[in-house]
Amino acid sequence: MMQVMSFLTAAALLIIGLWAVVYKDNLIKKVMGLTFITDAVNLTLITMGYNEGGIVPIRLPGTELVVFSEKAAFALPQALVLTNIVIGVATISLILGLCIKIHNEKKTLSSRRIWTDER
Amino acid sequence: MSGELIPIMVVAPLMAAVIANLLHGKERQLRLAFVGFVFLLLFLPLASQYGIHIFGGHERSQYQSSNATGIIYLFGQHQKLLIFILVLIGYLVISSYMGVYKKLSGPYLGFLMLGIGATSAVVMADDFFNFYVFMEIALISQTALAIATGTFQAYKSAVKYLIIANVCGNFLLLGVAMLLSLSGSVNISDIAAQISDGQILMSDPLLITAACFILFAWLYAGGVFPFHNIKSELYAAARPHSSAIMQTQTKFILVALGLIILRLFSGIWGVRQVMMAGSAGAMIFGVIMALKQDDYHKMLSYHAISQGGYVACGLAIGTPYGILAGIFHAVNHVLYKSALFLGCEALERHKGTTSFSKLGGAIHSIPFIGFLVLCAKLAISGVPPFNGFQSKLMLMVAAFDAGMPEITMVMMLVSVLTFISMMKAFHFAYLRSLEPAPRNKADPAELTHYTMALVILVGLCVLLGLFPDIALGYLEHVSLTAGAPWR
Repeated sequence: MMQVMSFLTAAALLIIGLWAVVYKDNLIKKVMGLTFITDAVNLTLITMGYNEGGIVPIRLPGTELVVFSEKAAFALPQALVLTNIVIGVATISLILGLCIKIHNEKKTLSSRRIWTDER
Repeated sequence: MSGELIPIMVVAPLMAAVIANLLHGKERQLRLAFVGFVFLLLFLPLASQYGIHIFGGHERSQYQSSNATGIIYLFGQHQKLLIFILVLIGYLVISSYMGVYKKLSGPYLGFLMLGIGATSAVVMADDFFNFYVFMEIALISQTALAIATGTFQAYKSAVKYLIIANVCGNFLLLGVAMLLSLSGSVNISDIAAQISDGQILMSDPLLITAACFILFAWLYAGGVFPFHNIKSELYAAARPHSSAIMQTQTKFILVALGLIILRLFSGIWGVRQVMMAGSAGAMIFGVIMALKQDDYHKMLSYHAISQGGYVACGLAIGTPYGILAGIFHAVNHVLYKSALFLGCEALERHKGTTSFSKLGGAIHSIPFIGFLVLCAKLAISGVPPFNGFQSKLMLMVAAFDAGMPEITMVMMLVSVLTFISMMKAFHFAYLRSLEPAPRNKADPAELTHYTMALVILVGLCVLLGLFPDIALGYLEHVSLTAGAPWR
């Protein structure tokens, strides 16, 4: 049940994010949409690796191998999420930096005005 | 030499990027370090031996008993050729930049190296984890190269590019997540083996959804229709020598991800049809947009997208001959298009502009560069004896054999339009006499680095035009393994 709810939340985040990226005029709102999309993907990955009643995928001393292999959460999605967070931060920071440059030049963050008006 | 050199082809450019940043402002040390790095770039692919290098991972045959979590680089025949061409163009671009620009920028050189390292990794990666990370790095490095010009045009193109790149990266990861839930692995060969063994059904909705997401990423990362405008705007905003390396990266990412899609999803109806629609759109709209341009650099940027459509078309046909022709065209295209971009930069430095309205008469002051640029223009137009003729002919035959004469017609038409556009550009830039004649900004002697780069690139165009088997021998294996009849 929890996994289903989690997937549904991810789907909602993805749709809201895409809507913001496509339909919102303000660049900052588009960036917020991007963070929603990134969160949706991260939530999907985390939910996939979720193991009910599971344990962290680090084999501690004294843990039986059989118990560990049965109960440990899937570690690979966590690694993917961590990578996606790092890449997301790099991309979003770069976009925000460019937004500052564009605002200094054009005094607006309206994507319609930026992309249609040639200087 | 041993397989340990294979990951160094990725690690060395990344280290060079870090060192370039550290040496920023120390002109002499930066020049010295990069003379060493560019030679290392050329040496590594030649010295590395063929084989699978396991970088903390596992071999493909073990997929039934374990999940792949490590990084695996494949350095097969086609990877050898693509990486050699990539580093050769990287070498020529970096040496032209270092030879012509008085003051070097450490971060700029760093991003050039980062792009080369990331693209090498994308070409060799056999796991989605590695592929995704380095594809994102390659996309960010391309943006950074455009931003380096410091123009408003570059900023606005970069923002547009990055917003969609972020969506594309997330879609790719979502597709990977679905494949991971189906197969328990991110190893591409493992997933392909599970699909061919019937452990994962082609009709599985999750596999079809994953195909849709990854196809979206391919269309964007490869600059294929409907995203052709975004990519070409970014090329046009960058310096021409950066555009040369950027379009090389794009073509090789297009090929690498295209081959993955063919290996995993070619059995799903609609995948190759979408690829074909995207490629035909890129060919047609790319060349039409190129014809409309009044700036030489912008015109070349749109042609880069149009020719990318040919490459994508070869992959979309998906037959062994189509794939062979598509990858061969990618190799040919990056060679003559890099020559054209470097020729454009030489012209820009010589005349101080790339606008057709202000160009003219360059054939009198830089005749040899003009001759080499004309050769590259004939190569892109598919005129014999240049390499473009060979690969375009192969593509047309592949489309005809696959029962798509309409695609052959489109290819012929686009080739004719390319020829018209290229001859128009040559006339405006080199042949036309303007009154009063535009003043020269740079002495022809200052353009020696561009001339040398053009000689090498045009020489390779002629070589591959006369002896295409030199390259085709490297591409046969991958085309036979990834190819399947058109359905």
